Amino acid sequence: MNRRDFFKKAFSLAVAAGISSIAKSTPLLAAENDSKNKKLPDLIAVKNGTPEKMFDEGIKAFGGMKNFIKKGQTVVVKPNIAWTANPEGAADTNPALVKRIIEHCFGAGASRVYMFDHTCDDCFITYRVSGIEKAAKKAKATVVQANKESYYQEVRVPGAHTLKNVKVHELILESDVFINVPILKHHGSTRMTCALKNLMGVVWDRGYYHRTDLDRCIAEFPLYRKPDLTIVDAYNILTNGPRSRSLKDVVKKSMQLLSKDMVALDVASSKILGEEVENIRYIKIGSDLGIGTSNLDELNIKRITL
Amino acid sequence: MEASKLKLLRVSSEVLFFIFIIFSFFRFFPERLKVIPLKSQIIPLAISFFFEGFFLSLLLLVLFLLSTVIFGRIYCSFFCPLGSFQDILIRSKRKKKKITKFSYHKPLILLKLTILIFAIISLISGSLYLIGYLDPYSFFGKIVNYLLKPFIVIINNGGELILRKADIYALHIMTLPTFNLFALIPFILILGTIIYLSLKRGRLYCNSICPLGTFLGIFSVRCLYRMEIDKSSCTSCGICESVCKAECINSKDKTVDNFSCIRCFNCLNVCPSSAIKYKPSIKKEKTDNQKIQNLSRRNFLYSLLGILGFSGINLLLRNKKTPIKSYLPPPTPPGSISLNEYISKCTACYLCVNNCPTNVLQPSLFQYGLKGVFIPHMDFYSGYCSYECTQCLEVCPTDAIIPHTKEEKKKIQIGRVKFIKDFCVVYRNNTNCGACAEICPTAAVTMTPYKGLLLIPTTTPSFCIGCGACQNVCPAEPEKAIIIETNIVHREAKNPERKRTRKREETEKGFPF
Repeated sequence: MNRRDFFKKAFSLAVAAGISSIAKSTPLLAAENDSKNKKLPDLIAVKNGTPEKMFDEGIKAFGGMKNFIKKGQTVVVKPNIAWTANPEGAADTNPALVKRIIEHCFGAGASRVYMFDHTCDDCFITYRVSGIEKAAKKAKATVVQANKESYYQEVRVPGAHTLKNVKVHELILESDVFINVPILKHHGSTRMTCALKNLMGVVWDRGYYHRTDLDRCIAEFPLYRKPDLTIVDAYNILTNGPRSRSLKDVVKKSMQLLSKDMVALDVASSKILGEEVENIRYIKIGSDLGIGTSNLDELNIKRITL
Repeated sequence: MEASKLKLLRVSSEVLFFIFIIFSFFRFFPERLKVIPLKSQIIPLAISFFFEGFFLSLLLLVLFLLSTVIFGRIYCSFFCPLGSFQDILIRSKRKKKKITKFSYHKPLILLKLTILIFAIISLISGSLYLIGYLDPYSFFGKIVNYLLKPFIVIINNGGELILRKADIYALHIMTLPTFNLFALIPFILILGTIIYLSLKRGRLYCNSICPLGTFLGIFSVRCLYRMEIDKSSCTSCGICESVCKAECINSKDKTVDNFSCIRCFNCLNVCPSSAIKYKPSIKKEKTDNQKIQNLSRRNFLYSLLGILGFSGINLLLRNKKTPIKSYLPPPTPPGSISLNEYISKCTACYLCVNNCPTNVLQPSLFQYGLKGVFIPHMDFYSGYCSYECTQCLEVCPTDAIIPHTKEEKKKIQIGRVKFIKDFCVVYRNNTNCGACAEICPTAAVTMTPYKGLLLIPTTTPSFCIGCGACQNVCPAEPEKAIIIETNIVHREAKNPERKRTRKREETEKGFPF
């Protein structure tokens, strides 16, 4: 390659990069404009209904799913399917809720909806026993595995201190809309798993998280990509988790939270669970990094009791 | 039955069992169906009966021996997957070169019997190393594991990648089996012999090396239905001899060596004068029916005596314990009772290895010493034993891993947890971890208060089942902070105390925020 060729190539690459960055940023701007016009609440809390009914009402208060999904976009729904337990065990997101969310996605004109989680237990058994695979397939979502490294691609996490690079499931990279559907549970080491912690299921090397400051890694991941919408399933919650060992640890709360702000969701969720916010280290780190707001008083919260 | 129908029956049974035995090695095939084709394999049935005394195994074993004393070595052509493998090779050659002419060779009786005696000694000595290579089924298992599986995995994963790029998520990525060169050497040697012999001399392997072929051949010599040539109508044209894979037809002397005949029935269709026949051998006897009865009864008694004598010798020799090494070997799969029992029953067919969803079962090298060389072991670095899974217990054809219900299996303690605090991430870095506690299915590892807000693992070894999940996920480097110490003899794990209460319902008025 001579010098002229090099410059030519460098120039064309730069132009291509510029175009792609412009192309990327346009839909984001459009979405912001939309939300400003309608003055939507920052956080929606619903209670006393079935998971499906609460979601119907919650998303209505958010202006419907079309506020999050443009026609023809691809969506990835990421529930918590970490452990082999039936829906009663409350270790995994409620399958009926996952199904209803997917239906709303298609209702808003999504071209495809993908559903996956990087399970902790054997993925085939867990997908089946949790009932989520069946529910998602019924709603015509594409159920994807996440148990092999070849599904993952390495990305840089801008501004991260500990989690500088991370291998992320390719669907998180490729999909237009990312919907996070955690279930609220007590957690043996981080004390709570909810919105932020649920994102550990889209990365390959969780061992790196555990080895190098678990709380900080959890809080830093959203610097790479924040979900466009997070729906917290607090219908049945697990008070001695994250693995479901006994029904005596399950408490029926019949609640659901919706927001774009994962930190605010985690703060609100910790109150439902009855855990001190100060004890959950990743919430503070996330708030300091500007991932979201930990002061609920600053937020416009809409509370719906059915 | 007509001659052509006999061959059709043989070919259909052969194809059916060959395909279904291969299917048993793959996870897509329904669990319950996996067991059925494997019940046709004599050596696994024999091991299951001799060591565990399972009635079903005895019943099937007697059925197979009875069918052998009546019909001859039908196992070799109807059920044996290694036989079918050789038939495919023979057929592929015939397709290419049009005709392969076989010719009569004298049976290698001395060689056959020597190998049979060696195999029997090795079977009752408590190490199945030789059997693992000489039993046609177990060796076929190795062919699936080392040859077929990698081939299918590569095709599947390639297809998966192409489909995934086209946005179709229909296939799942499969894992390649682990190879180690040392285990491959004997495998390649024997496979090479089988391929060479089958291409040159048909089913010579079955009539020289295979101890099961020899064993069944002994019963076959005096069986009821024999292959015989009608000397008056035979013209010694040699057509039957040229199609005989077992090279047991001597067309000049007009005799058939029923010891070597594998009952493929290829000769029946080709004889222009219909001189070769498969029929009850009652020629010289006067009281025909009585003779038939006597013959089959005598053979049946022989075989029963053989089984009983065999298991008797075995019981005498069995109590000799393998000396336990000073270091602990890796745990054996749940359901295998103890290291000694496991080693004396496993033929290393790798059926469990191929069915294990988490890849925790891996072929060993010398982890279990020389007696247990190459048999599968639990490798907690490559996976861990899934709490809800009973695959290996269900499929094991030799009952080296004895079937248990899921609830029983959940209480089998194959090893006990050991926590090494000095290596733990929480102790070394003062950050949260808890990977071991969250994955523990039995509450043998829990997190307890440590410094400030930090929590550290605490173990209750009596709850532990030794599934190895904690060891597998422990992120500590370079050495794991939590490991499983093998139980040489499996025990029963205790259950953590659990009150059988229902879930609570809390309905506060508003929201807590």
